Order: sequence, then C-alpha cells, then structure tokens
Amino acid sequence: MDCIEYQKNMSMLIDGEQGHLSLQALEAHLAACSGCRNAYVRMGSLNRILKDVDLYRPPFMLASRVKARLAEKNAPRRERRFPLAWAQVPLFAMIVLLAIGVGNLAGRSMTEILLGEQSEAKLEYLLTDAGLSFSDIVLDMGVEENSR
Amino acid sequence: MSSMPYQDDLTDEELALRAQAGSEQDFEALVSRHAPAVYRLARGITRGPQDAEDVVQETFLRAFRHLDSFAPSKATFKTWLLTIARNQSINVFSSVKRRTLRFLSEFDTDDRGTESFNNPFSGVDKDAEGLLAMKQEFFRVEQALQKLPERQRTAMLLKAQQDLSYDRIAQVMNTSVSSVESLIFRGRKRLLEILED
Repeated sequence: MDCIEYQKNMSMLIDGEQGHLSLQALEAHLAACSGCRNAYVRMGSLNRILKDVDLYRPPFMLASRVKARLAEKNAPRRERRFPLAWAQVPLFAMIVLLAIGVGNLAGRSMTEILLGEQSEAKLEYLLTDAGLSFSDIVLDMGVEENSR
Repeated sequence: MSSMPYQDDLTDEELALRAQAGSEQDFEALVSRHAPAVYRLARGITRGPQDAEDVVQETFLRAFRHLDSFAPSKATFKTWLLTIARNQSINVFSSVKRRTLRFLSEFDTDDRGTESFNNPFSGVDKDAEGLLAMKQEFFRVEQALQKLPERQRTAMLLKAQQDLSYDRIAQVMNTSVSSVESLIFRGRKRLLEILED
C-alpha cells in the first residue's frame, strides 16, 4: 500500500470518519514514515484553520429578510379570500345594471324590479282594480294639492 | 421574531412535519436555525455575498413550496435543505461564472466593500497586529478555497463549516461516499499546496 492511501485514511480520521485501515496499521505507518507524519500534522492544522477562520459570516438580519420575503410571497395565497369578495363587487353591480336595463326594456320600472314579484303583483292588482296607472295616481295627488 | 420557547425543544424534523401541517411559525423557526448554514454554503459556491443571499431566499422559498416532498425517513431536514441550496448555488454560479471570472478583481474589491459589517473581524477587540494577522489568514484561506474546483470546495465546506458526515455530504452532493472521501482528500492536498506556495 502506498503513502497516498495512508494519507487518505488520515484525512478521514481527521474528519471523524471510519477509515478503511485499522488505527494500528495507521499508527505503525506514521511511526515509520516521516512524509506521512508531516502530511498528517499539516492536514490537522488546515482543518483547524478552516474551522476557526469563520469564513462567510452571514449578513445581519438575514433570517428576518428571508421570513419577510416568505410572508410577502405567500401573502396573495393567504389573502385570496378577502380580495375575492371585493372582486365580486363589479360583477354584482353589472348584474344589477343589467337587470335594470332588461327590466326597463320590458316596460317595468326600477321600483317594480326592486320590490320583487310579490309586491309587483300586489301593485299591479291595486292599480288595475281601480283602473288607474301609477302615474295617474301621482297626477291626481298633485291636482288635489294644487286645488287645496 | 424570536422562536417560541417550545420550538427550541423540537428537532428540525419535528418542526418540518408541523410546517407540513400548515404551521408557518414552525417553518420560520427552521429559517432562523438554518439560514446561516445555507448562506455559508451558498457563499462558498457562488463567491458573491449578494448572490449568496439570493440563493438563501430562493432556497427557503422552494423548501416552503415543496415541503410536502420532504420525508424524514429519507434525509434530515438540514441535508434536504442544503441539497436545494447547493443546486440553487450551482445554477447561480454557472450563470454568472463567466462574468465573475472576467471581472474578478473588481468583484473582489466590491465584495469586501459591501461586506463591511459582515466582516468577521469587525468589533473584535484585538490588538492591531493580531487583527491584521487574522485578516490576512482569512483572505488567504478564502482566496485558496476559490481556486479549488466547485465540488472539492463544496465537500470541504460542508465538512469544515457544517460538520456533516461523509454520508450526509454524499446526499447533499448527490454522489457516493467514496467520491466524498476523494473530493475532501484531494481538496485538502490542493489547499495545502496553494497555502504553502
């Protein structure tokens, strides 16, 4: 076995991993090979430097910014129910306007449409029973007022 | 917002399962726990602080959206998250690699300029000589790491900074344990050569 294989096992040992060689075999080789002893010391020092040097420290408030972005990205999903209710307002207004338009085309007033079928029926009954239209009644009331 | 007291007692996997059930607070606790680790890995791969932060944002966004695909039986939450982070970092790294190499000198200057308060030496009460030595050591190691191929650098950083086992590193890098052994060993040797040059 060559020194590279021993050194690879030393590298694993430094990282706390189970190497392919036994510890006794490694120790025996290290005792006999100054090159590998040197490599072992250098690898250990490098490991300490990498851990101690604190590379790439995260910026201040990083986690807060991530959370804020998450909230922002997920907000439309959470708020969907509320804006949808508002989104229905123009639709509702369109239906009302359409109903008024159709009602007018059919010769019915807004009052008739808004009072609904039952009131409409009562109104029609009262007016036709007296042989008067709604405008006749209003005109009559105006004439009475004037004569007074 | 600091995590709630009970969250400190829960493992990553327990928090992830609660987040899967719809708890956004528990996912936020995971963000607090792992944002620094994701940043360090992303920074090591992408090299730029802004790119690294973008990777962190994208990683957690993806993790949140694909939380259902996380299974504790397959991987730990940290391994799963770092796998996403590595893939994101590689995407960013590949897309800016040419530009970064072309403007490396300017990029490095900007990098240090914008990172004044991220500087690990800021606020350290040391004598000027010791501080200078630490700074020199930091930049020497940083420069040396940047000369390593991406896979060697990633494997070494996952070991040195996150203290992941070779098995976990293999999962994050989607490779075999024996590849990780070789990547770390070759990375170490190369890094020593660069530092001792």
